[in-house]
Formats: sequence, C-alpha cells, structure tokens
Amino acid sequence: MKKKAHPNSDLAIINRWLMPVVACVLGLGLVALPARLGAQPVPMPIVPLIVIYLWAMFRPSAWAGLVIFCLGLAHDLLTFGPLGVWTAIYLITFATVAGLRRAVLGRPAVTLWAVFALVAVIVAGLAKALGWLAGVEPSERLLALQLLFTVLLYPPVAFLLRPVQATSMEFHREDPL
Amino acid sequence: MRRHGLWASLKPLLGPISNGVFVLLILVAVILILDDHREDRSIIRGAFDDAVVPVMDVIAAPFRGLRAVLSDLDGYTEILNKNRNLKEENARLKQWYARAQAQASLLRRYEALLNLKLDPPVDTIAARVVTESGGPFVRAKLTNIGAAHDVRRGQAVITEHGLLGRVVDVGQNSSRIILLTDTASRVPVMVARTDARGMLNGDLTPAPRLDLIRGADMVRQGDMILTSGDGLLMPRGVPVGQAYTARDGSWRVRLFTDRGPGDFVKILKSTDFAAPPETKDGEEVPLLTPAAPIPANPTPRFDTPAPEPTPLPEELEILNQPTPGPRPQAAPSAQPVPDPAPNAVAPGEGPTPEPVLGPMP
Repeated sequence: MKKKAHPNSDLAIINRWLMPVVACVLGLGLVALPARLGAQPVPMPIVPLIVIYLWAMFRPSAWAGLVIFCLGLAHDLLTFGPLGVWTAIYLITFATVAGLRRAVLGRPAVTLWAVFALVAVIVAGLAKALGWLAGVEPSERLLALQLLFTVLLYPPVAFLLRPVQATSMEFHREDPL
Repeated sequence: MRRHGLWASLKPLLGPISNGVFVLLILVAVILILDDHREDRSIIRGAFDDAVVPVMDVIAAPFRGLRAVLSDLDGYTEILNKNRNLKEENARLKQWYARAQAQASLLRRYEALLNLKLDPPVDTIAARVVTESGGPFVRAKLTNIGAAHDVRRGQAVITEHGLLGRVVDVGQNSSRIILLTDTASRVPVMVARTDARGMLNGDLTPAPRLDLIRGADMVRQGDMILTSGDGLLMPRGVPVGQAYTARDGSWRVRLFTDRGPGDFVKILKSTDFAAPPETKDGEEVPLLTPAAPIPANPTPRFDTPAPEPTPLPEELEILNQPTPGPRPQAAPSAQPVPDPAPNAVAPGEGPTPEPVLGPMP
C-alpha cells in the first residue's frame, strides 16, 4: 500500500503550496494570452479559478489568503481590468469553498465538477456586482463564455492536479479553516 | 515530532487569525475596487507592465503567429466574393484616380504659389503589440515601448487601417493602449459624407456605438466615420470605420482596424492638436509659412531641367488647354513669378481656382 505523505513532509508542502501556486501562475499566463478569432477576442478559461477551488476543497491553508490576494492582483494587472475585482472574486471563492468543503468531500468526482459549475455561476454574479462597484460593466456574453470554457476545462485540470487532491482526512480535521 | 507538536499548539490560534486575515484581504480588495481608476495608477500598472512585457512577449509569440495565419485564411475565404466587387470598384476608382491626379496637380501648383503649410504631419513612433486583453472587463493592448521612447498618456494610436485607440498607461518600456471597443473609450467622430458630429462609445462589443448624431439622414448605412478632432486630443480626419445599423436599431461602427491583426501600431507623438507646430527653439510657426522667399526678379535657370509633371490620362488633357480667367502659374523653379510680391498672396490677388472638371459623380 502506498504510504501517505506526512503533513509537514517536503512532498506535502509541495502538494499543498508549490503545486497550486505554480498552476495558478501558469493559468494566469493562459488568461493573458492574446487569443482572437478574426476580429473577435476569444475569452480564455480562468484556470486559476479551478486551482483555487481544488486548493480550498482539498488543501486549505491558513495563509493561502495572502498568496491568493497576490494572484488576484496579478490577474487584474495582467488583464488591465479594474483593480481588485478578480482579487476579491478569488478570495471570496476560496473562503466559500473552504467553508463548504466538508459537505462535498468524499463524493464522486462528477459531484465536485457540478459544485464547481455552481461556483462558476456565483463567480459570474460576483463579477457583475464587483464590476458595477468598480464602474465597469462587464460583457455578459464574454463572461459567460469565459466561465463556460473554465467549467469545461475542469476535468483535465483536476486530473493534472491529483497530488493536491490526495489528502488524508485526519489532516483536514486539523486544518484551521 | 517536535515540529508537528509546535504546529499543533499553534493551530487553535491560527483559526481566528486566518479568518481575520481573509476578511481583511477581502476588504482591501473591495477598497481597491472602489478606489480604482484604471488611468490613475500609472506607477503600479506601469511597473507591472514593464516586468510583464518580456515574459508575455515570449509566451504570446506562437499566438501572434497563429493569429496572422488565421487572419490570412480569413482573408482568402472572402477573396472570391470580393473579387467581383473589386473589379467594379476598380473601374470606378480609375475614373476617380484620374480626376484626383488632375486635382492634385492643380493643388501642387497652388501650394507652390501660396507657400501654404497645410496640415503639418504628426511625428509617430512605431510599436509592437506584445499582448492583448480580451476578457469581459476590458479591451486593451500592451506594447513594448514606453516613457523611454517619449510615449505619454493620451496619445492617439493608429494602425495602417485607421484609429485603434489611445495610450492610457505608460511604463518605462511599456505602454497600455485602450481600444475603441473598451467601455472607457469615448472618441469624437464625424460622418465623412455629411460632416455630422457624433461620439463613438465603446461597450465591449466588436463594433462600438455611434451616439449623438443629430438631424435626419445625417448618417447612412456604409458611411465612412472619421475622427472629428473635437476635443483637440486627436487629429481630424483619421479613418475609424463604417457605420451600420445594429439589430437593436442603434448605429454602430465596423472598425477598419479589424481588417488586420494589428500587431504593429503607430503612436502619434502629439497630444494637443490645437496649437500650431513649434520650431526647435520653441518659436511658433504661423500657419501661413513661406517655405522660401520668392526673389523679386527671379532669374530663370535653364541649366537645370524642370521637374517632369505627372503624366495625366488622355481624357484630362483639358487641363493643358487654356481656360478663361487667370490660370495658375507654373512652379517657381520652372518659370519666374512675374509679380514681385511679398511672401504670401493676398486674398483676391492670387489666381482664382477654376472648376476644371465638372462635379464628381
């Protein structure tokens, strides 16, 4: 039987911190890519949202907030969007998912995917509301497309991030969040 | 394990602290949202863009290539449909070209005679687009030149097809261009056919909305839209796009810049199109500027051949025939100016333009 990594071992730290952060940074690079189809810009999937969802679901951490704050700020700056919108969305998503994870953990992967789709709908509402706060009305069509692509991309990203999801329940019970 | 024991003893404390940190961070984010004005954070955004440009330049390179290929393919599919139209248009344009040649020839003679300095050219800086934001909140491009190359906020940006947008944020070696389709874009425009004024408002759709056109029949389907120069931030007459009616009945403009990938842009160096151009020592140049003083009794130089006039089509030989009334003189280098006049020609004394050709179709 495969031995599980101890919470404070190097492997656990890589799974808990390094992997989600690296995945988020790569995802941000994807969001900022200049994809176009003819004259129309093609919205790229928000991979960091998937990573943050998995991170909050399986490896929530007390200080993840600071990292997520920086990632959100980088998203806003990279896309030249209103400063703070994606920062707040990422933080709220993380906090919400981390709060609800006990009700979802242990269920089939499809259920996790369905919950992520629900989270995407909440994110759409948040983006609309925060955009209104910032005085920038987002394009509903593009926002919907972007989140749809993100939901569709969930299975392969979740598959690639299996180490983040390989958890011990004891470890979760000790988690501060 | 010691480390684990210390961690375990800290955990009960970390719960409330981490919750507090989260709430604090969310509050900071909301404050950022409420306080954000995209064009007023040049220091943060400029520094970030400077750092990002080399990275995105590498990451986005394959996408730029792919986009250029797709753009070409897109063009090929339209070739068959356009070919027929182009042939008809070409026949019409040949007539126009001939007439324009005749007018240009006449204009050159007038300019030489009056020494008018018309519409001085604006200096431009070429830039390469590194990446582009196409998300739900913004339409912007990031270029690889900035304050180090004399780029400033507010400068207009064009491509070979027309107006693209304006600079909103400048780093040392990067600058952000907000496109005409962004919600923050408001550009005063006019209809080329009627001179009717309007405002082009971006709303994150591919074709920005044309507002404030007044009067009946001021704008028609297919009318060319140009910058009006109102507000003095942009030059007058830069092509923007073609007007069309959207499904909701609003007027929109199909942008000319959508005809190409827009990977290379030109930034107009001036931001004030009200003041006349300045000389190097800061002295203003009057609009009526003598290019060179005309000598009182110029001696014709027969040793240098006169410049070859642009050959005119046969049907325009009428220009070479004498017409009633005063005709414009030839270029000063070819023939002497009989009147020892001062630098500029006074109104009424100069040659009166004669309608050489009938009204254009």
